[in-house]
Amino acid sequence: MKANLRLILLPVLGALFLLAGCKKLTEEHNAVGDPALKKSLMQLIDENPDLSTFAGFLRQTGLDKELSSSKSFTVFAPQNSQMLGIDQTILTDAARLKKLIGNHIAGEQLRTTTVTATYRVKMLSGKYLNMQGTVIGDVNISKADQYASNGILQIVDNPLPALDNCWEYMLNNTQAPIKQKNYVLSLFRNVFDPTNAVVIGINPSTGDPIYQPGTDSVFTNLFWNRVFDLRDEKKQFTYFMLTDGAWDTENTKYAPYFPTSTPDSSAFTTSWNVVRDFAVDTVYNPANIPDTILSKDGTKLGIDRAAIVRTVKTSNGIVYVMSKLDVMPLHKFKTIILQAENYNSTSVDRRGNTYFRDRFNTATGFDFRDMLVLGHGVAQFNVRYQINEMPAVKYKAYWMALNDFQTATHQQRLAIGGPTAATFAYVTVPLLNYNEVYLGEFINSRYWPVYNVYLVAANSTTAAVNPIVCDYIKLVPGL
Amino acid sequence: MFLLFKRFFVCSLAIAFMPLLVQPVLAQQPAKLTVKGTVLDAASKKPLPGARVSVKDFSAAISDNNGAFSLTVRTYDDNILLNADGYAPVQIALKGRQTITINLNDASLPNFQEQAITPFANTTRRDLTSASGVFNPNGEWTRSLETVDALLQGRVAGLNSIRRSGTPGVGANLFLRGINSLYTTNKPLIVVDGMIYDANDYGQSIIANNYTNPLALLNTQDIENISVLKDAASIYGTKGANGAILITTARARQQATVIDFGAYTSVNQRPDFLPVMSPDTYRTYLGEILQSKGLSSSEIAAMSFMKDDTAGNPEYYRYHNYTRWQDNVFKNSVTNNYYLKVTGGDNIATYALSVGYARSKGVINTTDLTRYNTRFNAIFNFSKKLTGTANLSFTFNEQNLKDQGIAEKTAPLYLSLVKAPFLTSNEVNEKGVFSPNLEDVDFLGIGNPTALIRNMQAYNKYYRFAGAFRFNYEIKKGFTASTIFGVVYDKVRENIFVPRKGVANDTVSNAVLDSRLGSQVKRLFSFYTDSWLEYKKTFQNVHSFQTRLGLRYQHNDAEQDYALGFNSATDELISVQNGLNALRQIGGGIGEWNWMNTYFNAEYGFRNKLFVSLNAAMDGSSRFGLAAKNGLSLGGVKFAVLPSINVAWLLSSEHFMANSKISLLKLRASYGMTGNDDIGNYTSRQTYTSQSLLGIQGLVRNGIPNSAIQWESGQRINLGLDIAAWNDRISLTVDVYKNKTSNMLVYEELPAATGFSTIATNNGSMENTGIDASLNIRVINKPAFKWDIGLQAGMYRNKVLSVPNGSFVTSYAGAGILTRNGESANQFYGWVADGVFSTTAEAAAAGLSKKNADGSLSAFAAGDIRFRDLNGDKLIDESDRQVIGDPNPDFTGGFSNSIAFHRFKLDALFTFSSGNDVYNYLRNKLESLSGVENQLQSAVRRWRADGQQTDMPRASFGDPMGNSRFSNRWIEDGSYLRLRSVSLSYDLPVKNKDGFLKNAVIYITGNNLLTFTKYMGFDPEFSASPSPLAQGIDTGLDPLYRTATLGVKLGF
Repeated sequence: MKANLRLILLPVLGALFLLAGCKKLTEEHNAVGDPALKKSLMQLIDENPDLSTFAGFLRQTGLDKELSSSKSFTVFAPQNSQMLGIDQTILTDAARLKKLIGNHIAGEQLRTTTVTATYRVKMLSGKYLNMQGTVIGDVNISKADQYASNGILQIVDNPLPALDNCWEYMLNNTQAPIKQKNYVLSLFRNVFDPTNAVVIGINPSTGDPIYQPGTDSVFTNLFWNRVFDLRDEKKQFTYFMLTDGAWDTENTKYAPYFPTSTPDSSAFTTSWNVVRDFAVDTVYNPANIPDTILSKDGTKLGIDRAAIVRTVKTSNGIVYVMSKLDVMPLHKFKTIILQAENYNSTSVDRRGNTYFRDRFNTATGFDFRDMLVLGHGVAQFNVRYQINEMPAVKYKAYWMALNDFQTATHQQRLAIGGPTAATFAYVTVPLLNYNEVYLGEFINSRYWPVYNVYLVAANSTTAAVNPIVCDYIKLVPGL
Repeated sequence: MFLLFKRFFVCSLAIAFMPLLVQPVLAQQPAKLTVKGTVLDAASKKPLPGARVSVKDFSAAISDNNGAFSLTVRTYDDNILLNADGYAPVQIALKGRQTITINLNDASLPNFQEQAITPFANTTRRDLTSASGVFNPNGEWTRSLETVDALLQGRVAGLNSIRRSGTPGVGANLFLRGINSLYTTNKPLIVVDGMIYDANDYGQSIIANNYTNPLALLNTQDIENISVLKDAASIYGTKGANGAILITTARARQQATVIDFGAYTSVNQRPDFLPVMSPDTYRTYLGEILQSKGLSSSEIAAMSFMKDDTAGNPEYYRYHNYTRWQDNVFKNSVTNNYYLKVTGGDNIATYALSVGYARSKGVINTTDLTRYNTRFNAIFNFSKKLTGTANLSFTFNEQNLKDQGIAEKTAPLYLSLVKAPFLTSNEVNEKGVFSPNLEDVDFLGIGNPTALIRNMQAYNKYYRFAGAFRFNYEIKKGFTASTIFGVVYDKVRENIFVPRKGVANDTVSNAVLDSRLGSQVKRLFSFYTDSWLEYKKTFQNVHSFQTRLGLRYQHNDAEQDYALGFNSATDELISVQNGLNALRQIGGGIGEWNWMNTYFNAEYGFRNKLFVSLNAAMDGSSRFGLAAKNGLSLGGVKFAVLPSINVAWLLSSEHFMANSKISLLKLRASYGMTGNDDIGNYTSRQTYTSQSLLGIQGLVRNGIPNSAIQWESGQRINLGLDIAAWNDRISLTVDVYKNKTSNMLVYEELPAATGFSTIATNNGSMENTGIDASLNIRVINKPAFKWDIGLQAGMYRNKVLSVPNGSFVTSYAGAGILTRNGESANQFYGWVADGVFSTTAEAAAAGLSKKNADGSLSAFAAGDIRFRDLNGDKLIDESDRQVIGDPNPDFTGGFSNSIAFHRFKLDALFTFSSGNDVYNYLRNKLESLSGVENQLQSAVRRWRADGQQTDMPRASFGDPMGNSRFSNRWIEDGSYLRLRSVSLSYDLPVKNKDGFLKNAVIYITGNNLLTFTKYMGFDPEFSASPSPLAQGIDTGLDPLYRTATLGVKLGF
């Protein structure tokens, strides 16, 4: 009986042993295994005695809890020795310290091996830093790509200070030139913006909504809207600031081009036209700044390296304080081309007689689209074109007009300022002329925020006599 | 073919005459010969009084108190039979002996005298000429809600029964002796009480990956005997290619009324959860995957699940939970089963009447199966010459189900694995108060498993009426005419409703589908008749001869109609007519076919020791093409002619083995032709299908007909050995076989100009060779303590001989499956993964890349899988695939233990499958690291940074490098050893055997209690499809589960 019992027990025990073995295999497969993946980033930092100062700051700012959580991070941790150089005033200011320490943590996983092209990393401070390979911001990663369960630890050889951005620099830094700063700060306006507006009614006659006062506009700076928002951390800018003397020089240089009805408004307009070209959305480092930079409007800025007074690195780019930034009017004022088909209005509604034609220009070899108003039956019918911000400059006028729609020639003219202005006389449009035709010069004597030119038809109601045809009107500044 | 057949016949004749040569023929003597002997109980070695000793049709005697008997015999070469109540019957050849001692074993010992059913008669295993397996499920009352296909698991050597899933009643796919065909059925023919039992599922279920198993309509408690014919099925013509399972249902064993009542309650234990990531580890993963999708760190940080402050975050409580979703889907459940059987009768008629009720709840919450079954079997003696039987049964099943398997938006189990664990099933407000309302689809587009569990409806009702009558008329002695005729009427009705709330939308070409509704009816009407003449005669007690000539006819009519609707107005409108008219889909199919089979059978026995059996069938079917190449042409119609011959020689009945310890030694050989008619009802005919073109319906050709299509031809060669020794305490059956299928159905590719992609032809061939072995040993044989062990094992090796173009690759669940000449038919064909590139330098050194859809190349980087570049072109593409696994097992079978100790009985059945590879599709999904779906815990060790040594690649949205492609990463060893069932019963002592209660047995049974496997999924056993080209692929069907049953069986 004993032997039998053994006979039964043996397979049972064997089976249990096997079972234990099998369980182990599945558990093994599902086990994390790698001890590094069982630790959070915070634990990984704590384990490194060289990072104890940084770890202390993490605790002080409460960011240690974040780094222990299950979100993903990359920590760029400076070693203890590098932390000594930190401005002591920051350490006592909780907000600034948090910003500084937060500037070492990114909310995503970044490996030096995969970030091969420059990548703009958003840090917990809200600032961005450029990363490429083993370089983050201006510092090197000395020990790369250590992993923990919730992210990557990069040990860097210097701290990553949370710098001011270009706007903050201008606003806060005492060394920022005062005149340009004051002018730019004067550009704050209430601008209509219905995004957050509260509708309180509908205008019964127009059907437009009526907004609650105070909600339908935002207080914003023209420079942000018209040029670049220099507060934007994600983008990178090069911003030029002129020393007060240079500022005055430039203003003086451009004052003649912007006379208006009052001296104040003339000065304001001049300054605007000076400063509007001073920001570009590309970073030019002092080492490789070219001698010419194109502004947002396409104006060439001639850079004299010797004129750089100060170079300030900001979190979103670079600010150059210049003692001279000579922008030539030749570059500032650009040729105006008015495509005839993009007119703003006509003297009489003749949309039924207006044709937009696609043609091939045998002279230039390009396709073009022109406008033909034919059989409108209105004597001196005119078409209006609007030009914004017209400086006080002498212009040469050209057009291209193709008469291929009838066998007779006809006459038409260009009127500057008003439809009856006799700046230019009637010109005969020859048959099948694909060339640009020079019409003459005119002088614009003051700055106009809005300025009109007109194409005027012959003083006749006869269809064959009074057509208007035009591809474009070109106004070339005569500087 | 005929030449072969002839050669075989000559061989068998030679074998037939061999005993005449080796043994002197005894002269017939009129003198009265007697045999004296003693009958002993083999366990106690004590004399056994009251044993009936007889020579068939000649003499009989009964043993006295000393167990002694004296019996007159015709010759000392006769066979004597011994029967005693409670003991296994024995047939002994005297072999010249005049005194014998016979040890009788108790009836529970498997022996060669047990009943075996052949297509024509009940006989004993001793007399069988064919390879077969016998299983008497009388003791299987305890495994109450098993279907017969699952019940056979581990019981018959060579029959590989693979359970489909853990859904109650879903049963198993059966493969007898491996794979015989790629595209036709591999299931053995099932015959119940002489009637072919249609066990096919006509038309797919509208409930995703559900299988309506007709065998669930057969109550296993009604089954008395199951005989599995492995090689002698040519008598069933073109339906016998995969052998046959002959089932006999309840009979009255005595005329006195016997009432058996059983009541069982089972507890079903939900499976162990798969270890998916916790909210913490999942959140880190989700952050990474969203980053790789291209979201910036501030976009990710702005998502509610990343905000850990309750202040100013009204969604905090919605995104900061720990929900174990599998807990919401799996549930422990209960099964109840009641069964009543009454047998009895008189000398005119005996009957067996049974009724049963069972209700089994599944381990997937809110799924269940309810079954009501009745059966009436009767045997009539109308007159001395005319006898008859009636078998009537009606079973009604009702099932509540859920989508399962690859149904990523609607299968609750799958959703419970991938759903974000930090979400909850119910809506929650900004104060953290939970609402009874269920959450809708989450921000990641994943549905709510709880919504599917509670609000999805998927139920079916199916029933089957089967009725058959049989009449036998004895024209004169030994000459009988018999007929069976019967009908089967079967109907399946299914309904589904998938609510819009909490379930991700589906998209079709012209609409977004929110709620999904459907209804389907499938019905089958089948008429079957089998009539035959039989002649039986024994000449001079030496030559026994039986012959039969018969005709079978079957008419089948199957129909499937379904309607699918979408986007009902509200989730309260759940029936199909509420769907939008524009999106409604209506379809179905009609299948009608006829089968006629004329057959001839002749059996010859010489001196009860040499047996020859000759079978031939001639089959006609509406499915065969008129231009079929093979077969006999009669009146322009092709008939398959399928002969077979079986020979058995009972060596142990020869004189030279008179004093041997070997009580039985039999050699068998068979050669036969079979056929498989499962080639599609209309493959040989031109059919048309409706098609919509710009809203206009029309008819288009539905493929190219192949008028030469014919049955698949099977060639079966079997050599067998039966041996029993040591008073039958050891018995062994070994069969070796070679099955060849020629004219195998394959789909050949067509030129594009035809407008069709494939055509079905008979241009394939395949071969299976294998061994089946069945061993039973009574280890301990004491009166009060008996221990039997049994081993049933089968192994086969499959080899494709020829397919068009030498090879082709099919696809199932993303797996490539290679069928190639000279290799087994269904090998996994994919890439080989050699780990993960640890560093950028390592990846650069390997220099591997892959081609994108636009023709550009992407290089494998650190964190990607290093796929093996087989052709060395540094490009990982289709040509770098190789065979990475084989789902065919090395061997399968069962190992049984039966221990009887006083009134206790312990039965344990282990089943095993060894060497079969499994493609873990579910793990592929759960370790793909390519989407927002939750992953297994193993995904935590995914590659994070250079230098990390790991086997998990990096997380990359959309898996652009194909790291999760079908590779050996997902191939696992599917071998297992399972304690399939263990049952402890106690036979209560009943004081007054003549009282009202005659016997009472209490059972405790466990099913699937232990499984030893290295497989990492829920369970290594599953079968998503009956096709051999889809075996071994774990699509994540509802897993099998453990069950513990407490039951009582009472006899009145």
